[in-house]
Amino acid sequence: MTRPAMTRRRAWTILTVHAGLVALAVVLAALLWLWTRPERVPAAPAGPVAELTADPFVSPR
Amino acid sequence: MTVDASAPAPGLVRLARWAPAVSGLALALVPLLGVVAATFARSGVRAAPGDLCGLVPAGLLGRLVPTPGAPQREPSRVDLARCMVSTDRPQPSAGYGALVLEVERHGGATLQSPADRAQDWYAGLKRTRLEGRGVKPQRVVDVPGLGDDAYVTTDEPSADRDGDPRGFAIATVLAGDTVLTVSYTAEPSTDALATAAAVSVARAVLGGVR
Repeated sequence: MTRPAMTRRRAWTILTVHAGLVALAVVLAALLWLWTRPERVPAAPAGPVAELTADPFVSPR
Repeated sequence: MTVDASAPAPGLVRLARWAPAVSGLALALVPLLGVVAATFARSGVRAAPGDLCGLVPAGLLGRLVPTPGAPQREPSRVDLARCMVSTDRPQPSAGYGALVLEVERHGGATLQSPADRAQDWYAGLKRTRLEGRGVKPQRVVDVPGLGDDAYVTTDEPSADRDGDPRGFAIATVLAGDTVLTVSYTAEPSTDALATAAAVSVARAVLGGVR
């Protein structure tokens, strides 16, 4: 039994449907990546944080 | 001679014949990659260090906590360790200091590595503090060059019953799957000195808790 000859219209239909499926796979992969990546750490103002060079106490009032 | 307009080009036919295989492979790869990622990400949580206070160099501990009492370790989970040491008998000439260290390890979950989970938890906590949703007004300042990310939180200036100024700071550090928290209170002191002390302790113990 031989396969029927493919028409141009049928070839384009097959290509369009499967291109859509590949696009769907790409979208699913992107969603999976977005869903699993951790939250970005928010930045706070960078302040002067001095190293401790002496005792951390001041004179009593 | 007439040309059959519906006859496709040979290249188009070849593409159409391969298209189902290509799209099938692409759709099959998505769950396959998910399963592979989940397998690699899911791992047991590492145990937190047993003696946290022991990681603080004795000289530094002596400066921050005059006449320290015995360290108090809370019975904790495998992934959580907490230790507190404070001045036992405050001397008017020496001041009072209290240091609390906490280490929390995070384990992996579906599609998330332990480090990703730790970052999620840490980022959420930092965002809460930055948005001022804590109980007290807080100032949050980043500390560059410490772990993967680090910040210090201080409260509004306060004083004890005698009117002596109290310094208080919490340094929080993210390092891989670990979140280290160092809380330090000193009297009489300032928030700037308490901040420097908490960051110094965090730097000193970070290598031991990784």
